[in-house]
Amino acid sequence: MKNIFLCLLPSKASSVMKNPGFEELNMKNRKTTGDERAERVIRGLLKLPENRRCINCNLLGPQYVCTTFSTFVCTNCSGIHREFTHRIKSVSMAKFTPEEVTALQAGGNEDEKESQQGSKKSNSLRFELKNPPPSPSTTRSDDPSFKYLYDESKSPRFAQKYNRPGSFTRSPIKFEVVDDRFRDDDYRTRRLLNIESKLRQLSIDGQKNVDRSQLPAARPLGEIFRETSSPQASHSSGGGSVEGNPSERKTNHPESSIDWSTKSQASDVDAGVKPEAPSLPDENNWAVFETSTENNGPKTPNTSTSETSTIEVVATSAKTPLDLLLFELSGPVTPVTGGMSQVSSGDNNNEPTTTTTEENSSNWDFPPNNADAWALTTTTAPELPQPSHDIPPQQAQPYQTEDSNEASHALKSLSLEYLPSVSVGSSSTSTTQPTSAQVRGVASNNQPLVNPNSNDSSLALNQVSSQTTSKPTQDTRPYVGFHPSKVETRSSGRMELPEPPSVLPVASKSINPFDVTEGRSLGHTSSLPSMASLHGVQPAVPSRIGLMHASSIGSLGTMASQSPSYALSFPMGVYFDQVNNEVQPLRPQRAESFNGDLTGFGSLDKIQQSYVGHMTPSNPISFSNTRRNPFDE
Amino acid sequence: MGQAFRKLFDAFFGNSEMRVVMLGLDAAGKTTILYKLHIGEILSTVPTIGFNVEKVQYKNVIFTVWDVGGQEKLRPLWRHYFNNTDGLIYVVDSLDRERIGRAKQEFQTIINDPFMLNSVILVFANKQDLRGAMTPMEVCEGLGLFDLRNRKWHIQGTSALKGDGLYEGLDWLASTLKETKASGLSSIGTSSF
Repeated sequence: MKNIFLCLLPSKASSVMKNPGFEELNMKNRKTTGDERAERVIRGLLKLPENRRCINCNLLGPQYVCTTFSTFVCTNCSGIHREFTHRIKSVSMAKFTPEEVTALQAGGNEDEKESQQGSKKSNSLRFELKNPPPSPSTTRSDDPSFKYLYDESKSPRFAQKYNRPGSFTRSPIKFEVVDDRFRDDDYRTRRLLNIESKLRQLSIDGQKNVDRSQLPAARPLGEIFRETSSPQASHSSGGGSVEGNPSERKTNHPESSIDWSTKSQASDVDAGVKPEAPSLPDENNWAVFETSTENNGPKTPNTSTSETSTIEVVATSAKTPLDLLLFELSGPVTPVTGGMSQVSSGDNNNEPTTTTTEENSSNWDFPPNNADAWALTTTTAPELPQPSHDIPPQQAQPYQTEDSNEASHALKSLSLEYLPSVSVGSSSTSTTQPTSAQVRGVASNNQPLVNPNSNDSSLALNQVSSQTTSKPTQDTRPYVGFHPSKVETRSSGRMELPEPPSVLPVASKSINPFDVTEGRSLGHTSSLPSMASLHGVQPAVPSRIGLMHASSIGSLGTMASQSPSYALSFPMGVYFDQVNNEVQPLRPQRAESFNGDLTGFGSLDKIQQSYVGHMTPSNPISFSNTRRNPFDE
Repeated sequence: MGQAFRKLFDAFFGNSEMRVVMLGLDAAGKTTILYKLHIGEILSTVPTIGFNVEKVQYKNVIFTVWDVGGQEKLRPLWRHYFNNTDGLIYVVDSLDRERIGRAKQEFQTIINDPFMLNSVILVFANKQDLRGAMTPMEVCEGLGLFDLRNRKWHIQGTSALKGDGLYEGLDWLASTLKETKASGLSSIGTSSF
């Protein structure tokens, strides 16, 4: 009890009730007084500026608490939360336990906003994904439990909501900070147009030098990233600034590019053998730009949310991982594009990156051509900023968790795989999509270099497996790069159909209701294709998949949301190794910062597990087998 | 005059009215059920503060369903709806294993209220569509229904979103209402899964 009160003290409102609270404490701990005090404390929290508005729709004066996330939400949003089996309580009409009060004091909307990058955010994101009006077909098939929610009830319900005068018209996408998103869409479309024109010019120039492509492309991408993801980007940047590295990235694109280019050169050797070679450097450059763009994010003044939070620190520490993430993100893009428009999926890999990007952008411009494509764009676009944000912290966690838990959470890993695909899809649509395959190749190439450095025993295991597998991955790289487009396109086609069920369904099912949202909408569109492509590649690189699982498992351990990024990258083990090596100095910070989140989410994990348990019958056992295989091998 | 005429008319065609109060913990799905029954649609509901009341006609029975908010501080107000109530619909969130004990407490409080001794009890084990939901039998045990004596009760697995089980429950209510009007109380519990 005292703790609660002490926690309260720093808040403004606490001063008002300080005295009575103390008296009560000293006098006696009656239940009634406890309830009253809890309510008072919460009402005090409601007066904090960050809690004055609903975290989901920004409505003034939230009167409900979502105890699942420890956030303050308005009445309408509380109803929506209920639909997703989140527990909500009315400040006025419910009684709060001391645990809930402490959680609220520790949490609150501000904390939630910050942590939206991390695991929590993924959950809320899922909300969004479920909720967003767009395509009914894409979103819901994965989770049976929510399926009918969407299928049957959703359409009328949502129509109503949108028709309503006040609340939802403002924020169609309910569960993220809606304002940003809307902004994002607008900006993004504009930016995309600009980028498209620029890219076309570049393509007219023909095969581009890396430098050229970088200069024109980097600018718009960075801008886009900033604006789209401004709040989250700011977080990541804030983190970067803490460490001091961010400044470098912000100002100096060339440096980052140089680093990558060196790595890419290594990859070039491999690529040189194969026809991809010309494209590789470009893609690497692109990847560099992406990283730079994210780094730019911090520059933007847009960051309205608090920048100081621990999460940011994590993000900064993870910025190297961010790069990796970007690469990964870029990877999935190709499949998405294929799914969206039949135009260029085959071309992406073969042609220079600029052209591919151009195509992608064009797709954005003309989404209406295909209903499916339109749906994809709409769904993915709003999410874009967020997934990227999410990923960095998530990556940070996996490193930590990797050491401790490798074997555990096979199921989670599945879910993770599923998720990652989602994030990739979103990111890919927005910016650089062509790079992914080569990026992966680069990562794999780098890995061997990094491997000697890796210290952790568990990591060593991964590395060993990764090393063994890494070569195959490189070999297969060409497959991924060139053929992948074909495969991916197929997969995209499949995605619309229930096709990939054998592997993917597991992931989707394993996701808990919260997860479902993201997984659903994105999963069909983007994630599945990538997975499908993997399957297609599988025969060539069986070990690779095994790696993914293994690595994902280790990383996933605690957080389902973490996994997505990793799952995206095929050579997960490789990524991890690299990241770990690079990030190692940073680790402790991350670990600390994340631990809080992890603990907070422990309950969620449990939920997920329980769900998973239910799903297990349907889940392919093959997953567990596959993940184990790499180690055995 | 019109009223009387209508009553005559109803009596002639066997129409009857039944006053039902629908209770349950918060977020059990009471309001969703009410409007699913009333207009056949899934509304996006918000936590009920106060109550909703709608008339639902099913077969020859007009149910006046009172849906009362279920949050903690509203539960003490439930008793004000007990008077002159023919039936109780108690809605349980089958997914909420944590609070099934709490649900049992509230349930026992309700049915032991003097005004509710003559009311028939229909339990909706709601949210059966969700994975991991307790089966109606589990809910039955959780609420201690098997220990009831001299009460007419029935448990029905439902999914308000799908509409499954709702009208089966009303069926039971209607038939039981006629029975009870024809005869006294019986101590038989039924369940359909």
